[in-house]
Amino acid sequence: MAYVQESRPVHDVVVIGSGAAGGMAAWNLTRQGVNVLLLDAGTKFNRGGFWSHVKPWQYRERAARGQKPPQFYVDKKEQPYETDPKNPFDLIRVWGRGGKTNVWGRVSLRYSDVDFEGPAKDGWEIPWPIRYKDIAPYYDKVDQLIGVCGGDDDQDSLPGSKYHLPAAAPRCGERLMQKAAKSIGISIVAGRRAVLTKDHNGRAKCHFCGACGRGCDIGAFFNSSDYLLEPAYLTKRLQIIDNAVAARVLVDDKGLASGVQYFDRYTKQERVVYAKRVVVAASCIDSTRILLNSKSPRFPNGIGNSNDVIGRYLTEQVRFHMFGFVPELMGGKTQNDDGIGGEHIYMPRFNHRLPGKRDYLRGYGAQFWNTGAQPGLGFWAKMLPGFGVDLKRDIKKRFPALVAIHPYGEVLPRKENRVTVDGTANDQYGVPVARLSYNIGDNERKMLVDMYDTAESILKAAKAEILPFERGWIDTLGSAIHEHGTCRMGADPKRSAVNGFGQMHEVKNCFVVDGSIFTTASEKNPTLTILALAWRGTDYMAEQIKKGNI
Amino acid sequence: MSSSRRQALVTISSAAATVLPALGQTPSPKVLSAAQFELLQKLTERIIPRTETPGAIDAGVAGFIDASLATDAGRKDRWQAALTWFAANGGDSVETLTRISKETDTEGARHFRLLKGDTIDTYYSTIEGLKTELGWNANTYLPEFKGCTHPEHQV
Repeated sequence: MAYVQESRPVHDVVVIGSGAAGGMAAWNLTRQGVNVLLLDAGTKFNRGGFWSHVKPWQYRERAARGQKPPQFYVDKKEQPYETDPKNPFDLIRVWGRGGKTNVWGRVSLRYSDVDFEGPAKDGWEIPWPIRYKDIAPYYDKVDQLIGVCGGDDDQDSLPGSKYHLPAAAPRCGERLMQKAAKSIGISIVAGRRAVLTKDHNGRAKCHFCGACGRGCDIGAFFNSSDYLLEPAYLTKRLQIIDNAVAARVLVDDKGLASGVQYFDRYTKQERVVYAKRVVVAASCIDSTRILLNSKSPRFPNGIGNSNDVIGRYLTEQVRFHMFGFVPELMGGKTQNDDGIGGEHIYMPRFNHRLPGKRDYLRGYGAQFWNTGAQPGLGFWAKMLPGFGVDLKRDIKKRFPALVAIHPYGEVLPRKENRVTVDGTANDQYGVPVARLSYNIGDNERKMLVDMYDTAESILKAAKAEILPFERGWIDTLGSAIHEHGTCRMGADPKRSAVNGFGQMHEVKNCFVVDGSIFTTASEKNPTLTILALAWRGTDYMAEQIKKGNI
Repeated sequence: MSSSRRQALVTISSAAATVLPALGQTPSPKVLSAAQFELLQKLTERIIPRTETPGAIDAGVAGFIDASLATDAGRKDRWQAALTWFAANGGDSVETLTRISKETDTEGARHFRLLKGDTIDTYYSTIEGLKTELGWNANTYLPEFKGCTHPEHQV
């Protein structure tokens, strides 16, 4: 009897990451008959242990007993990254099943052709290789799958959906903001949010506790773990390796992806899995870091990066926050303003419709979270003058009357805004960490003037007592948690890393499907578009597998 | 609301105020000295006093601030410096507090901001501050969310 050398398993597809992008890839491929091995840098979060209904004073009591809520966010000490101390960048990461979708903001806005055609029209950097018509059927499918509530008040900059669940009823403060904005010609529409406002696909609807940021104890908003990975398990074609921190995509001598090197999060042991195809979906910065670290003789600059595009053009959104108190609600009764958590309204981009020429490119929209009677009032209460009985009365009077506006403006992609892995600092597994070099430019500073004017004029139209603000101040770079662009899609292989399906121009069996492939950031929250692009990309991938092309 | 019903509610809330415990029944501090803790209590009560609703002492604000210093050396240093300064500058004197509340760049102003900020953050996260004083009773199960139903607020 001859001895047969042990053969290493070669998986159909390895997916790196379990968030919106990786979850969608795993779900869509397994349901089409493809076997998937998924690497998750963490493990499943215990939904029963979420602190969804722990009131502020109970937090303190629990903490005093040594208890902790689930630790969603990766500590920078555990997994460092480098950033310019003069322009610090906040990188928010969740390792574990579902990634950031466990705690995401749930804003689910379709990109429009105002977004997709923007760069082709204004000539700043490369055009998107797709248009709204290409992605629209996937938006429809995503809306039906995950459940997105919203209105039918769509605009040219905010396409609608036939599949919206009922919109969440606006709070008083939100109605007053809508009314005020309308009086000065600005339209504020129903928010589009991935929250179940009625039972959907066998899932129970939201119970309006407003604590979504601590994780939903019943999964009434989309998270990749419950909505994508659990159904994918049922196909028996999905295998997940926990605590697998992906480091590099391996390349064979033909220049194709052949597997993934990863490290066990806790034992730090190095492991390798082999695959016929690789899907990279570790979120923008981590995917980019993995690609750049995947150096080989064929790709000394990182896999698929002969044109030095990967890592460059990092972009997100610039934002600030303005608050006020509306007279109609001052001194009124405190209401339960929790709703579906976060805002029930949205201000779509409108600057492209205004007469006259702007002195900047692209645009901005606005969100309104925090409106109404909300805990965590210290930030504004401390700004009121004095102390004692008067202060106590002034705080109580304003508590029900808070309104908030948070404009988000698109940041242009720039070559010099980038992620690098120069190897001067390594993580605990010996893998070079990401260095982020990023700043906004003149275009954004000019747009900020408009953004401030708009926010202030809406609050003034509402006759709000506006909380003091510093014009031009912006929130920490990265705090929008909408990183994009570092592995951008495009039709021109010289200027982009992947095609419109996320397939690498240079490495046909390697797909990237997360926010890193966006050509521009737009002013909108990206998760719905990540889901639609990942679905579309992996449809194409499954088709190519069936045809034997990859 | 009818005036008689409003009056009845005022009466009830006054009655509730009378059952609040007497000021000064204090837990023993973990980090601060007894004298520092007593001063801290008085200072927090100056920021948020008992009215018809509980004040900072009723809500145990000083105790929560004291406990928080056990795990944060930076805060502990700032509070030690602040309490030393207050002790040397009239304790919880309303005159001193009024003066430093109007200053911006002085040492006193810095200590006042610490006192006011921590008192506000702590008080309005207690059941007394958030629920009893402000009437917040959210983060709970609701069968439906009606939102704004006031005709005068509609667009």
